[in-house]
Amino acid sequence: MKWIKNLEFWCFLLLFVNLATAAADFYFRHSALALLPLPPGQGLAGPPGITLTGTPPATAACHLVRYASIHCGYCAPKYSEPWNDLERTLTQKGCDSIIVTPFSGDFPLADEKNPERRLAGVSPEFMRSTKFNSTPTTLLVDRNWRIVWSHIGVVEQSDSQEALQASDTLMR
Amino acid sequence: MRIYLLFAILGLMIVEGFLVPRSLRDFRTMQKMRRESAPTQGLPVSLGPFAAYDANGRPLALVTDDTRWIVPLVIHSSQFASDLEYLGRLRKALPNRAITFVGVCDNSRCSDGQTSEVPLLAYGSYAPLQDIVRLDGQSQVLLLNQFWGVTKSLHRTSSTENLAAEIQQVTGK
Repeated sequence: MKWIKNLEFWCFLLLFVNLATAAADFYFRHSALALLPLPPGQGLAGPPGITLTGTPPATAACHLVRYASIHCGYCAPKYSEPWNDLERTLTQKGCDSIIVTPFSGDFPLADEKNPERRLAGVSPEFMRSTKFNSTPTTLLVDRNWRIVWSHIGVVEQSDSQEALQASDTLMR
Repeated sequence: MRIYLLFAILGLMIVEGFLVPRSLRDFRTMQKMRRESAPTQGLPVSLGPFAAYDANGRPLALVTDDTRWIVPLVIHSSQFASDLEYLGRLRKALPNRAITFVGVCDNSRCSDGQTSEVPLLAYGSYAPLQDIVRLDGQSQVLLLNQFWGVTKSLHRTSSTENLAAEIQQVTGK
């Protein structure tokens, strides 16, 4: 009888430990997701700034925003083929492509076939809402400046496909 | 009964064996994300090349031949009038043209239709704006040379006299 009671004790103890571990895991996972930069659904303060002509970018069905610099090795043309394809496809669909650089005159080498709006200056509210800290960072945002897709690092072919899939929801 | 309990214990141990590695992995992911999302620490080396524009998108000429020092100060939209007055008092305390003061609006609409003896920036280069705003959150003001190199960070006190004295001490102007 004492043996069974001991087993019951271990059952309760293990059940309690299981629940505690599951709760801790839920907390870790939730905290990590909350720290994920630029998650889909996050709203940005748009328009982001002014272009080289001194005016804000015109409204478009969606905006492809790229934070890049000529000083960033991974923004170089040899790593930018999928980005150029994505930019071409989305601008043909009615989106605009906005290039934001860390410093003035830092614009990366561009595929001149694609129309790009290069920002000369950003608004402080756009800067606060994006908090970019590495180049290249790419965002696809809807006409109301809500993030639909984001990617930090070089845009690969698979990322480009993902962005195109996400853009389908905007075109419907 | 005993067998039933033994199976239950075994089952619970298996579940625990599945949960522990998963929790450890998620804990490491959380720690990594915390490290990566932590704000940048310390002072930047330089804020240049820097471009500044007013609320109408016109470029601001901040550096003249006389400029030796640049002091960008954040103008908070929530206390626009008092911050503008602070900047005006600072300009009066240090009228030397070798020192250029720039009001950096924390909102691109804050300088709409406002006249000020100090240039008010509504749009600027991304990374320098980030540094100016981040240090303002720590009540610090950057003192820059004419090439936008960071010379020192000064404490933004409520009294302009103290900040003016600190600037004077470093610049000798």
